[in-house]
Amino acid sequence: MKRFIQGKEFRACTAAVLLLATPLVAAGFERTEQRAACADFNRHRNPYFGDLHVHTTYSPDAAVFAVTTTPRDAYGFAKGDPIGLPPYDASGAPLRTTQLSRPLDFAAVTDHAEFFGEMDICMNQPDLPGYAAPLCAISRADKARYSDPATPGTPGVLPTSFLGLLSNVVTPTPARPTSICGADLSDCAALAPVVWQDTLAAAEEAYDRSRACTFTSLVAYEWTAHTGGANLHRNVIFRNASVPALPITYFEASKAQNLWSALESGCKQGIPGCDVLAIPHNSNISLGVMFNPVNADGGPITAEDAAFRSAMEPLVEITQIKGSSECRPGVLTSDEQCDFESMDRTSLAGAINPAAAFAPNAFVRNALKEGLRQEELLGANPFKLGFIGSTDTHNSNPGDTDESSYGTRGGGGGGDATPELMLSPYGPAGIETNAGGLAVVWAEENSRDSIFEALRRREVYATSGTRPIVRFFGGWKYGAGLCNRKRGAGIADHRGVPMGGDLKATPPRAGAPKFFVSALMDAGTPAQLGTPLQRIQIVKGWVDADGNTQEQVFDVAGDANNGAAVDTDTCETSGPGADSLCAVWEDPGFDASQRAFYYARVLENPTCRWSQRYCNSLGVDCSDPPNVPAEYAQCCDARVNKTVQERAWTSPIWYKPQG
Amino acid sequence: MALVLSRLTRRRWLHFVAAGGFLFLLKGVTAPVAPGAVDGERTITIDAPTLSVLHEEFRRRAGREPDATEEAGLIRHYADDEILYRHALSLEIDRSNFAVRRRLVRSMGFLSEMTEADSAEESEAAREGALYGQALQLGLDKTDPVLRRMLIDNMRLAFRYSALDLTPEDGELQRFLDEHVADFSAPARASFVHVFFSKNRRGEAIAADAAATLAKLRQHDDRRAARGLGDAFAEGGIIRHRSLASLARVFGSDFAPALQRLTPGVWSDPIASLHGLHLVRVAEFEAARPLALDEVRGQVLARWRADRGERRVRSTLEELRGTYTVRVERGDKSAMQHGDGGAQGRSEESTTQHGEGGASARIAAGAAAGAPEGPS
Repeated sequence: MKRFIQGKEFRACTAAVLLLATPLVAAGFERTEQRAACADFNRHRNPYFGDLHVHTTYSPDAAVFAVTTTPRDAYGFAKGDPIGLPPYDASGAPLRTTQLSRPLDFAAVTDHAEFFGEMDICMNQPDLPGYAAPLCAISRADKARYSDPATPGTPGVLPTSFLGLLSNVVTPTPARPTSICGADLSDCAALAPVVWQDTLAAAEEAYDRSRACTFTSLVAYEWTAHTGGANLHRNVIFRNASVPALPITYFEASKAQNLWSALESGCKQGIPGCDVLAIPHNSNISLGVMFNPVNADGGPITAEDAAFRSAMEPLVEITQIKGSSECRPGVLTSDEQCDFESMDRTSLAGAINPAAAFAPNAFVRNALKEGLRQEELLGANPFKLGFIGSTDTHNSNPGDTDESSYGTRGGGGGGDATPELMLSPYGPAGIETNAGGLAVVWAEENSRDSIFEALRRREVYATSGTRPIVRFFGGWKYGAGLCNRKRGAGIADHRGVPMGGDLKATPPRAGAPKFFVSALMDAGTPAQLGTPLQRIQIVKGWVDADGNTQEQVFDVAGDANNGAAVDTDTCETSGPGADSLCAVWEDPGFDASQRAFYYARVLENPTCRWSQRYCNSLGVDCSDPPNVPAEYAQCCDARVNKTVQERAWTSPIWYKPQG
Repeated sequence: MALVLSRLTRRRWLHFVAAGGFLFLLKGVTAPVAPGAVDGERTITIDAPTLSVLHEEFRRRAGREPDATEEAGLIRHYADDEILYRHALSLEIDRSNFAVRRRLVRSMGFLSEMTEADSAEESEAAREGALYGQALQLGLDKTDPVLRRMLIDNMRLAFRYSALDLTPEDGELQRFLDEHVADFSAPARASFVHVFFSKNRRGEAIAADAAATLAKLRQHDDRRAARGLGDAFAEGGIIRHRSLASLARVFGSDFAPALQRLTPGVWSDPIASLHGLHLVRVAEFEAARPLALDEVRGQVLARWRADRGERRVRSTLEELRGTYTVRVERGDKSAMQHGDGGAQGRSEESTTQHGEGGASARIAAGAAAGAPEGPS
């Protein structure tokens, strides 16, 4: 009888949904720009794959490593065009190229906006006095060196120009370099808009505004605060083409709170149609500062601060080339799956030291827990973060996350163009980096407004570079058989909330919340099939009765011991795995009086890490230590993982006690 | 040409690229270029030091000396910049462009702060006007290399944006769309209902289960026949308007090609996917197709205008080139190297004329005649 009633309810709600989907009614998101509605519009949302962190030659740390490709090239790459990488031959032709086997649905070029004018003067304006500035001369010399295959970089040595430029964003009281910009800074002020305009034009040209909706570009830049060596960078993503005349950079706003204020007044309040959000990344190398609950003056945050922060920063980039920031073994967790693409350092230029004192809030899971605690104190959660992944590539090649070719490609132009550099424990690229992740959004259609609203409501997830399709919903009335229902996801959506949301108010006699999670494996391509799934986990974090934060990880589908294996000598995989997994899970330890969050983590079967594939291709034989060249020593170092389990992290769903 | 272009009645240029802060208040951008009177102001001289800077720039980029053709390209590019700069000055863009004015005021303000105390009494506007006047008197608009660059870039942009007011007739837009059909097409899409058999759940029995169900479906085929049959599928049993590429993500790469061979309206034999077997009833195929003008009018118009703007830049530059003479003066390398102090300049002249690519060819020929000596 109960089943029957459910079915009837469902048909009624389906009819309602179909009615809503007619063009006469709101599309589910607000359209703020002139464009056609998309042919693939889907009220229940489609998954779109993209990259929201991409650098081109307009970023100094790409330019000095001899990357010459522009935002136009980057968008072309995202759509399937090949791209060249340094070094170059005598005729200037690139000696390496790369291309996506599967184009992306969307991308944002996020160049470091601090040095738009400076780099243009250094590289392209010999008429200007700043061109002769020492930092410019060194930048050109470094670029020339990394352009030439005969003079590759030295492992562990960052180029002088890079360090010189970095020093401008390390000081807490930044000032533009007058040696380059002129005493009144007007040369940089005159040229920065040209670079920004070209960035906007490239985005506009790449954006498909027709019904076909084949590609979406998002206007964006990176705000590069590196105060005291802490990586506090944010990618600033705009909703549409209504954007400020110039980006707000570290020079104008040296603290995150000031950045948000400037974006609020300069974009959201200041320009009709302008809307924006900021996405922090690499809290893992932020010296633990990224998610400290303090305001711009260093004092404790207020409820207002927390709400403002959460409104401006609904997401975090949880994984990228410079490591995963989810969690770290031993830092308030015993979760063994936290040993995934961890950087063994507390800052970008810091020493490698796995035993260093890693601050808890350097890791996103701990920040989420801290957010719950702050919410209890203040009434507002400053760290209510959904997850995306991206690359942070400096090669103008968004979404180029293929593990099997990362060894020959790297992410940093000519700075990682040799095996010695890629396998170095010291960088600039090096053994600790990885091929980067992807951002996946559940959006009604592939357009700027639809994608932006999905980002804002956190209906997004991160992957470590592969393309599984993952759904995650939370609610109070999910039947145990929902996975076997024909429209399980639709029912879960209707009766609950998707990833990124807040559980609806607890109905009477509801018991514990339930979660519906389903994953389809990455289908791959004919040339490179995807890897089957091993299991789905749900990670719960909460604040207990004593005010302490807690966490627990549950396996909810699949099998940790499914027998799948990988032969690290050949990188061939064997054993079973799942093409799809699904579970309805009920929290067994639910306490209605305690704040909590839940997110799903989907693990694929193990495969070779990029470094293992690369070491194999170089013919390194670890069984014969005397014959392993010193520069390939990392291939045989037990501290370097030989395998990885590629994965997806869904944005969390939060629970808050009522009253 | 089928252009609705009322040059005479249309208001003159007022293009404000808001985000960049460039204000173009240009007069006569499209006015006919004065006939090619060759006088002092119409000669562009590339002297030996300038040439060596061009060479150095090339060496920095390519790591070697330019050959004769490449050198001609460097010279042409330099000459083009100079032509655009002089054209900008002749149109007095340096007097009417907002960004230029702002820079002059800033520069002058900086200079005057160094020399005299601020007069707090003056209004901001008066002070701004005074500074601007002083800057022009000092000739800052003629000597500032950043301004030179701004004027050149603005001149190019002005030619390009001069196409923004053009609105062609549909026939012209359609012709443009036909020429760029690859950029304006919709991907193939499919809409279908499927009954799914999970290989995980059914194992060995999957083929027999699918066959039995198919028999039932074919006996009682109607819209609702699939209800209650088969297994739950994560992305649902009804797929609408999905592109073949996005189907590959869900079903695997082999599925879409098999799907495309089906006849709409009837239940198919089992089709294999990554996840198992599917009985499929296609509702509709939408073939990949070129988009109709009405679907992409905005995009096509933007591209057409951009294309037309590029042509304007090229043709106007071509026209201007015809009115200038380019003189190349070379220091005699071998003489200088021998240090006898008797460096004899050699010079080549070329009067450029109308015609696509003609000017560059002539300059190239001139440069090739005096081809640089190889390093001795």
